[in-house]
Parts: sequence; structure tokens; C-alpha cells
Amino acid sequence: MKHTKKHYHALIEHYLVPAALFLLNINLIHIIYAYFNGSWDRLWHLVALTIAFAALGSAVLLKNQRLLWCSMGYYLLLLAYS
Amino acid sequence: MSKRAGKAESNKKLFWRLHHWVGLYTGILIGVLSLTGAIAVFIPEIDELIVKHYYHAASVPSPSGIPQFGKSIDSLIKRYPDYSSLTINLPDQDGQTAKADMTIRPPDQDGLVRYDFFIDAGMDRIVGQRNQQNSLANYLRQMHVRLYEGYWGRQLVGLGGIALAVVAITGLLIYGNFMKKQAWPNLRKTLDMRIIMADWHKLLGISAMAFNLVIALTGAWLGLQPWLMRWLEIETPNTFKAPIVMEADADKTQYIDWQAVLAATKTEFPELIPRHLAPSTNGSASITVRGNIAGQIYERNINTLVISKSGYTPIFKYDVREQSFGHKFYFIQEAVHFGDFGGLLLKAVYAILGLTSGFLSISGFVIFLFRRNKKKGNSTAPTSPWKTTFVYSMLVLLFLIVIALISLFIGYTQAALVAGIVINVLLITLIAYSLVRYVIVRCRGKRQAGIH
Repeated sequence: MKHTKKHYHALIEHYLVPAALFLLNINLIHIIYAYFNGSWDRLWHLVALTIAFAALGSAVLLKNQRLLWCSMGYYLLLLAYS
Repeated sequence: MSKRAGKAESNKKLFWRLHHWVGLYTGILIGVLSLTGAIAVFIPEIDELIVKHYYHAASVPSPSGIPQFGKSIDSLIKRYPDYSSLTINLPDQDGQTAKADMTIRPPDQDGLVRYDFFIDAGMDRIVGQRNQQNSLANYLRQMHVRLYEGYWGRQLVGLGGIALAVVAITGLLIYGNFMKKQAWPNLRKTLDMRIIMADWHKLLGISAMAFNLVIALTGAWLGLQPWLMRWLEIETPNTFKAPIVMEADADKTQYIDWQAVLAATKTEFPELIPRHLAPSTNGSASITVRGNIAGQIYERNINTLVISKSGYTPIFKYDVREQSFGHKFYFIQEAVHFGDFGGLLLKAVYAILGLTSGFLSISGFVIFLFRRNKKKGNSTAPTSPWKTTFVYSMLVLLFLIVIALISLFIGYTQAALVAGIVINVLLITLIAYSLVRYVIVRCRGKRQAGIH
């Protein structure tokens, strides 16, 4: 019988997932605020925020290191430039 | 072990100790603030339901689409000519009443009393009234903001905010050490309640970390604001005072065309959504219009336009968007803390995430009790951790309910007196217990060192 044991990655579990969850908290509030205030004239902003939410959420669930770094970097850039 | 590894290990122990002791001594306070805060975000909605269904006060649609309240205000001023303050709160939605918040001296009572008069903003007639201080909305706010304790309740809440920030940050720093090979969001399969609670503690703690940290820091600032502002010599922004131009009594009775006030506001500050109108009573012959600008995350009703009663010309304008970073930072704290900038959905998210700190304080306490029993090798302890936690939780709920009942049915002052006695006695007991415990542990340590 072949055992497939998932490799435990301390960097992801101890640092990247908590960091992504931290940003996901902020993103959740941010996205509700943006949709509620209906800044539809800045549609790109709503789309970009929604993509950030989806990216962060899936990165936390999939625990892919590259996806975690990219989604966090993307949302931080979005926060800085929007 | 290398010197560096040894230092890292010693730091982790320090963080763990901080997390443990700060959490243990402030857990009840954090739990109370979590529960009251989760309810406090809905204060306006709860209050509107009470006004509508308990006081049966509602508005018919205004024929002009603009709230009508001038005649009602005039009749109130005639009825209470020696009123000391008046603020008109405009309805947020159709069907809601306008409210005249008046501090008056009722003929049958000594001293000043703050009353809310409900005005049908379509028919311009008074449809109800209540003592503002004894209302449920006031109870919910005062309990969360100062635990109903008038002397240092607000500062205690601020210290609760600092404690929550400390446990959140130390929790983050020891997270990896406690997770070891456990992956987020896995829960270990076991019947051991200590492990089950520990897993949920870590899972919810790390998942709501940023939210709890923001609530903690803004709460600490809001609670300790009076002290911090005095120590750091920070001046309160937006404190314009119009110059005195007439006698106070003449100012109070001066006729105001409220529709002209609203029209002038629209002209001078078009983006302002007026919510509070306060005519002067000190002789400055002015009207302060406070309100919000759509889409802005700042404290409610902080944008201001002061206009003169004669001619309705602007005297002062405060648009928070045009202010310095310091002003913006100052006025963002309350909005971020109470989450009233994203509708009901955001409030619901705030309430759910806000309750996590309450769960964390309860689960942390349960883990502590199980761990203590295990350490003592005392599996047949007289009281189980669950019983102890249940008793503490019930006592907290009993305190909240009793104070609410006294406040609603007897009076705010009496409720504040009882709450003050309970909180101060508990505080003194806690400090005395901690000191005695510290001295005993030190003495025992010294005695054991002497034996060896």
C-alpha cells in the first residue's frame, strides 16, 4: 500500500498563512465597504478588490507558496495605489 | 544550544507568559467588551425598532421630501423656555421620526433631564417622548464605552483594549511554536476537551487576528483618549466656538426657519448629508449642522457647517476631507472601531468577528483550568473547568442584565451607582489577590531555594 504523506512546510504554516489571513481580514472589510458605497464609477477598483479576495482566500486554502506571496503582494500594491 | 537559539527560546517563554497572565487577568473584561461590542454595533438599528414598536412613533412621507419639524420645535421651546440644549436628529430613512434631543428642567423633577421627543417628520407633530438616559440605546453604549462606571470605567475599557492588543500580538508570536506540525485549519481528532479548546483557540485567534488587533488598538485609544490627550498635549480637532453676539435668553427664543437652514446647508456644503442640527443657546446666534459625506470612513457627524441665525450665512465649515493627516487619523478611530461605514452586512461581520475575542477569552480560561488540573494531577477536582467557566459566565450575564433592568426601569444614576460599586470592589479584590499571590509565590520560592 502506498502512503502519500503531505509534506509539512513550516514557512507556509507558521508565517505565510497567518500573514495571508491577516490581509484577508482587512480585505474582507475593505471589499464590503467598497461594494456598499457603490463606487461603480471606479469599476476596475471593485474588480481588483474582488480578485484580491479570491486570490487571498484560495491561497490560504491551497497553501501554495507562490500563490500566497503573489496574492499578498498584489493586495498590498492595491492598498498602496488605490 | 547556541546563544542565539537560547535567546529565541527565552523570548518565546516571555511571550507565552505575557499571553497567559494578561489573558487570565483581563479575560473577563475582554469577554464583556466583546459581547457588548457585538451588540453595540447595532445600536441605531435596535433603537429605531424600539422607537417604532415600543413608542409607536413613525413618520408619514413628507410632501416636499424634506423633513418637517419647525412647528414641533417651536412648541417645545415654548413649553420648556429654560431648556439648556437642543439638538435635532434628522431621520436616516423614510418612515423614521426626527428626534429633538433636549436638556430640560421638568416641572415635577429637580435638576436637568435629557429627553428625546419624537417628531413625525411628514406631519410635523410630536408623537412621543422618552428619558434619553434611561433608554436601551444609552445602556448599550455606556456599558460598552465605560462599563457604566463613571469615574474610570472608560479608562478600564481602554486598558482592556491594550490587554487585547498584547494577547493578540503575543499570540501571533507564539503561534508557530504551538502549532508545531499542525496545519491550519485542521483540528486534532480527540475527546480531550483541553486539546479541542486549544485547537479552536488557535484557529479562531489566528483567523481573526487583524480584526481583533484593530479593534484592540482603536478601543485602547478611544478609552484612554482623555488621559493620552492630556499627557501628549494633543488638541481636540474641530472645536470651533462662534463668538457671542447677543444675550443667551434672546438667542434661545430667536425664530429659526429650518427649511432655510437646510437650503443654506445644501448651497454652502453640497456633499454634506445633514444629520444633527443644534441651535446655539449661549448667545452666539448660530446653528451648527453636523453630518456625513457619503463613502467616507470617519466618525459619524463630524463634518460641520456653522451658520448664523440671522441671514443663514456660513460662519465656519469643517470638511474632514480637507484636513491634515492628524485630523483624519483622529476621526477615523471611532468609525473603524464600530464599523458603521459599510451597511448592515459590515456590521454583521463586525459582530461575528468581534465575538471571537469573547470566545478566545472563554476558551483560554477553559484551557488554563484544564492545564492547572492536569499539572496538579487532580483529575477529581471539586469543580470541573466547565462548571467554573459556566459560573463566571453566568455572573457576568447576571451583572449585565441587572444593570440593564435598573437602568431601564429605575434610572441611569442608580444603575451607574450599582455598577460602580460592583466594578470597583472587583477591581480592588483582583489587585489585592494578585499582590498576595505574588508575595506568597516569592516567599515559597525563597524558602525552597534556602532548603536546597
